[in-house]
Amino acid sequence: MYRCHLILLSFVIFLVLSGCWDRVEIEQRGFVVGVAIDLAEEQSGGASDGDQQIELTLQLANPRGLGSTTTGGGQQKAFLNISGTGSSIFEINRDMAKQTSRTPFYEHLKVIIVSKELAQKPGLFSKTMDTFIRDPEMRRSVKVLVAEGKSKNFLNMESEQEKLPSLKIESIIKNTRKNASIIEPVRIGKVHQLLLNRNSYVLPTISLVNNKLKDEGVAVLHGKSNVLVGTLNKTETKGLNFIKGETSSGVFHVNVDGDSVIYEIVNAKSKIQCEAKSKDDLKFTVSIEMEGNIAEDYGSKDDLIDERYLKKVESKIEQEIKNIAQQTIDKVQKELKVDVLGFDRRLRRTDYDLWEQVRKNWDRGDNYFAKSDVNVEANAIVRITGVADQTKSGIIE
Amino acid sequence: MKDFEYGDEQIGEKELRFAIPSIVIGVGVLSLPRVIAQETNGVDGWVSILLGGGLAMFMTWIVATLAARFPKTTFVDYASLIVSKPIAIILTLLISIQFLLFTSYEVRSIASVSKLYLFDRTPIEFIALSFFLVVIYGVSGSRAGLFRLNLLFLPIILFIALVVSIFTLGWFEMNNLAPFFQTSFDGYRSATKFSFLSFLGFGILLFYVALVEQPKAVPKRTAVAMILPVFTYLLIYVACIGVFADSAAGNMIYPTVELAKEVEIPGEFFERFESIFFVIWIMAIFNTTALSFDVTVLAIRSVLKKMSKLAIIFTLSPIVYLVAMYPQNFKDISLLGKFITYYSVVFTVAVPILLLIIAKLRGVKGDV
Repeated sequence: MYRCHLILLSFVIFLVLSGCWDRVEIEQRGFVVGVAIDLAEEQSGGASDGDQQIELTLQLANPRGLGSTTTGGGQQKAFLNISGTGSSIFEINRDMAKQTSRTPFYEHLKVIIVSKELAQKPGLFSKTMDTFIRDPEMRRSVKVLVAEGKSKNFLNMESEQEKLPSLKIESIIKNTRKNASIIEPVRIGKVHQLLLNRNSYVLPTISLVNNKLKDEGVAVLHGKSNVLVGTLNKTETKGLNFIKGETSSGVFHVNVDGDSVIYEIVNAKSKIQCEAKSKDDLKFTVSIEMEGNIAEDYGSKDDLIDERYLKKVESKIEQEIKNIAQQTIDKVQKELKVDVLGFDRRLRRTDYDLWEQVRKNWDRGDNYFAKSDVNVEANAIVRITGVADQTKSGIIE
Repeated sequence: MKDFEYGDEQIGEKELRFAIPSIVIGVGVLSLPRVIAQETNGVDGWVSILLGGGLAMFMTWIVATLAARFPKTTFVDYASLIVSKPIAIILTLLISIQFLLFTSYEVRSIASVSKLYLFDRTPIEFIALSFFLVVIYGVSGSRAGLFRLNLLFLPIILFIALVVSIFTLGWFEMNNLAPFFQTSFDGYRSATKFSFLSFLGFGILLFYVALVEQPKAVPKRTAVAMILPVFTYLLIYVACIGVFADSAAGNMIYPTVELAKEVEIPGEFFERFESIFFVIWIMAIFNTTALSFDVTVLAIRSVLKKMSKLAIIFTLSPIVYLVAMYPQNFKDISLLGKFITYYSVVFTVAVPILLLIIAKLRGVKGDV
């Protein structure tokens, strides 16, 4: 009797423990590493709901092509790009299952590239982001980028070091440390937060020049209407980084008494102060403080150790910082009239009641942002002038 | 197979100290940052969590004081002394219904969360059943064994909460915490209410203190034990606000799980940390569910003394499972949760206070 029970029990255990509803063999999983979203070439008449047709391109990693060259695998490509067209990301996604033997699996997604054209259509950007925020498989650390031109072209790039174009893009945009005109990568979790707060924001842009990837400049998106309203060029992006205090390094080229001096930024900080008397009298002061070293000095007239000369160099650098920052402010405040500088958050911290009054008309409607006064102050410090004073003698014969 | 008996059905005061955080930390903390963030501005919710936690500590002390007044006496017996036997029996049954519903709620919640993040295609009924079977197995065994599991799991749970908060520091932005103290009074009040409600669970002391040999120090020590969940919640809440800001945290269904998904161990060799977080958190929810089910069984058994423990468990289990499967969607589950919390406020907050007052007035005391 007892034995009979045991046998029965083991059968039940076999039944229960051997099944797995969610089993997907690893060979059948298509690891999506990059996603590109474009406007569809032409409208197929079937879109009855009037939604814009979009084209979705997925980059699936091909593990066989990824193996090191010695283990064989031959000439297989390391990735596989598949595209589909439709009116919603999720629908396209399901359709794509027909194109590949592997089920798309998003847990390892690294980058989402959205074409500039798409972001210029009202409301379309947030619509396409929805599924990437909503789906439990997605991670909030996926990076979002805006592409000049067709975004799917970026997934076909040739590259030597990285076998997967998506990974190459990801690693390049992470290199903010070496260049002052690249902004910090923007994660989709941050996009969610910005969309909810209706803050205007910037996204890094990438472009292809002679089939080489360039990541300079940013796209400016307006918070309320959620439309790409403009872009900032290299210098303006530099200014943006100065104002937001997000520069961690970079190089300055200033002219002192007709000779070039190259200044290397080591550390930069910024402070935005807000003087809010009333909603029509808002004053913002941006103080930028920079520390750095002299990397090169082409001049030979003066000693770098000489305090007067050093002061001159510093004031030149300060002038340059102010110029660059002012350029950005002019563009953002007077031309685009969109607050991507974080003044809204500053005001919210300084005077919450006043902020509540102006928040609905901050960078839209009455646009208090465009009306406010902005003042830039800069302070540059030279810490190290190198191990030698001058390369050639300063005495003019 | 022969049953192995662990000591006896007695527990020490140390086990009770571990039981309090074990029953409190459950599915509530997965969504708590959302609820608090919706009511408050910036990081202001910390005030509410501390206030709610302080209130919970006070209530723990009240409940434990009541139970410790009658050493080695079950709830139904000491309630009979205070307010006649029939009322005591009704109260016991009503409280056992509370813990029964709570067990269902925990089973359903963990099944829903697991389905959402882990098992895409597995039917929710099956996820709930497999989890609940383990709980039934745990409760069928020795009670001392359950308490030992608490002792074993709790440090791991606290450790993982710490890891989640520390390794998301990379995404922490001080700007997200502002503005400070801009929440309205109503905001604080309702956030405090929600935070207090998330610390319910001290009701188990009504029944468990009877198992302790020397309950004199229990009220103070269990109240102090309540600090652990309060600080765990505070830590997770502040991390959520710092990483997501109040707007996004208030918009996510389970901000704590999303926080775990953000974890990045330096060196980038480890992705998908949330799988580990889930394993540990299911242990936490197992503790909560098992304790809650055990109290249900204990309460009913104190009234129906003739029924064996196993008979009660096998009668109650189908009920628990059916109740758990009744809600249709997320909205229904939250509604069930809401109902249970208000029900608990009546029976584990109001009733113990009344009983304690009546006992003091009438001078009823257990034999020491």
